Amino acid sequence: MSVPLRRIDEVTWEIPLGARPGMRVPARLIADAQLVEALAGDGSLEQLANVASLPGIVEPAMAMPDIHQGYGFPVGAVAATGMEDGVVSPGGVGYDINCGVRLLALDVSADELGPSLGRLMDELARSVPSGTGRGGRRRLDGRDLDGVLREGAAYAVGELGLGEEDDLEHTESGGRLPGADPSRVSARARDRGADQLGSMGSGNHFLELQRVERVEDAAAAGAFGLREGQVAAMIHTGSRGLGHQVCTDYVRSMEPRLEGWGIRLPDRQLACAPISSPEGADYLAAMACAANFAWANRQAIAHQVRRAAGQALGRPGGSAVRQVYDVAHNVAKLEEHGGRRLCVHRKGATRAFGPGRGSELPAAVAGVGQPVFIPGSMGTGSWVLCGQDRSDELSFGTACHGAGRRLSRTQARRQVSGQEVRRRLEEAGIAVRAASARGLAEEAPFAYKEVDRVVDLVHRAGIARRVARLVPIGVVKG
Amino acid sequence: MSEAGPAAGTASELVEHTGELELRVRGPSLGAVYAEALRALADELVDRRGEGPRERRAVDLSASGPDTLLADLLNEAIFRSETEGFVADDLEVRELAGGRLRGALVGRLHDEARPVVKAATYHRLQARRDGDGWVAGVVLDV
Repeated sequence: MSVPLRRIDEVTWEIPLGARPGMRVPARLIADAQLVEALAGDGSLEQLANVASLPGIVEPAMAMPDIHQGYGFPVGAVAATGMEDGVVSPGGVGYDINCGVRLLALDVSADELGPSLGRLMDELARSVPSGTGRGGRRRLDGRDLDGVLREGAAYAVGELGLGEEDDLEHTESGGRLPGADPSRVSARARDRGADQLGSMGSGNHFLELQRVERVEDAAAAGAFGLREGQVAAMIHTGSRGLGHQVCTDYVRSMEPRLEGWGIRLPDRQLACAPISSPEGADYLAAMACAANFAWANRQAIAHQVRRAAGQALGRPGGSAVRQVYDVAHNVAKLEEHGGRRLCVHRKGATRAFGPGRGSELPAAVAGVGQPVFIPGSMGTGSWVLCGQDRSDELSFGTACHGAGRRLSRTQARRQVSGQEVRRRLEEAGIAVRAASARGLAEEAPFAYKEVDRVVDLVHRAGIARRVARLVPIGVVKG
Repeated sequence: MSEAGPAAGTASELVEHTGELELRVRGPSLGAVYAEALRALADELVDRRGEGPRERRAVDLSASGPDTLLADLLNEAIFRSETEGFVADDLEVRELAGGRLRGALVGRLHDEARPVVKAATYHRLQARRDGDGWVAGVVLDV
C-alpha cells in the first residue's frame, strides 16, 4: 500500500491530511529523494500516517530521516498530543523505555591510549555484562529498586555511589523524570529489572570507544569539552527488561479499553489512553519509573567505564572521565511548545533543544544548544550535534536518533557471518569484544543507512547543527 | 522428557521487517501453531539447543482471542527466559478453548540465553483458521 508524499522544500516532505482514513493531522518527514525512495515497501510511511490518527494529536506527526519500519509507530517518529484532549500511547514510546545514549569524554588522546586499548576493552567487556546469565551485576533489593525507580540517576549517584553529582547536571532532565510512582510498576517488571542495573542488553545496544575524528563547530565542541583526537566512550542502552515489561503490561491493559473511550485505531499496537484518564496517568507514572531505571542503568555503566579507564590510564578516582551529556530517544515527556503543554512522544528520536531553551540545559552548553548524539553503525562513525531553536518550530524540539536500519536482521545475516564482520572491523583497526557472533552479523555496518547523510539532513533542516564526527576504535556488543 | 518435535504440517518463517522480527507460523491446530511459535522464539534466544534435562513451567493464560493469547504466551516465554534462563521450545496443552490456555511451557535452562527479544507486539498480530489448519503472525520487538 503506498502513501502519497509531496515535497514541501529541499528537505521536507508531507503526507497530506486525508491520505489515509482517520488521519487527524498531516504528517511530515525530513528526508531527501534517495531516502524517500529507499522507504518504498518498508511500511514506515503507512505507520507514520497511522500515528497521525491518534486522538488529540497536534500538527504535524513528524518523522526524522532515520525513519524505518517499527510496530505501531515507525522508528524515528515524534507525536505531540494535547493534555486535555490527547492520548498517551505506550507503543509510541516503545518497549525499551528511555533507550538512549550517553557520551563520556576521556582526558586522553587515541594515540596516548593506543598501547592500553586492548586491556581497557577487555576490562569493559568483563565489567559491563550484556545480558542474561552473565554475572557481574548487583541485584537490587526492594528499597533500592524503589529508589532507582523514583529518582533515577540521582539515586544511583547519591545512594549507590555510582558516579558524580556533575553527571546529573549533564543528563537530560537531570536523569530523573518527575511523577514516577513505583506502585504503578508490576511485580513482573520489577523481577525483570532487579538484577539488570549496569547491563547493556543485546540487539543494537553497545559500548564504544571512539576517537574525535574532526570538529566542525569549535565553539560548541569547546562548550561540550571535546577536541580532535580525543577518546570518548559512547553508551547505548535503555531500561532493559523492566521497561520492556512496563510497555507490555500497559499495551495489554489499555487495548481492551479503547472502545469504551470511543477510540478507533488503525493498528492495535497504537493502543493508548486519554492523558486525563487514570489509566493514562498510571502509564505515565510507570513509564517515568522505567525512564529513571534507564538513566540509572547508563549511570552504572558509566561508573564502570570511569573505573576501567582510570585503571588503564593510571588515574584512579574518576578524574580521567567527564560526562558530556546523556539523551533519551524513546520516551514521552510533558513539555511546553508554542505556548501549549503537550505530551511529546519520541520513538527513536532525540530531544534537541536550542539555546532559546537554555534555561532547561546545563549552564556550560546553554549558549550553544543541547548536545545530541547520533550513533552510526559500529564500523562507520557517530556524530555529536547541538540542538537549534528551529527544532521547536519544526519538530517539537526533536532530532533523529541514529543512522536507521536499511536491511532487516535476517537480510544482514544472509549476507555476512559474524566472524567476517569481526575480521573486517579488526582490519579497520577497531577492537571488537562481542558476546554473540550472530549479533555481530545482524548489526553489520552495511545494514544501516549512511549516518552522514541522515545527519546532513537534520543539519540542513536547521534542527541540529554538526559539532563533531567520532569514529570507533573499540566496540563492545551484547 | 523427550523432545516430540513439531507436528506434521507445522512450519514457521521470518518475513522481512526492517526494524524487528516478524514471524509467520502455520500448523494443523492452534496448539501446534503456538508450539511452533515458541520454537521459533527459542531459535532467536539461543544459538544452539542445550543439553540439560527438559523441564516444564505451568501456564494458565486467558485472553480475548487466539491472537492476543499468542502474544501473551510469547511474552510469558520471554519473561521466563530473561528471569530464569528457561528457554521454552515446546508447549503441552491441557486446555485450549474460549480464549483460555492451560498447560506447560517445555524447554531447558540456558546460561547464555540472549536477551534479544523484548516483547511480542500487537502490530499485525493474527491467529486464525486457514482451511484445515491455523495460521498466525506476530512482530517481535528486538
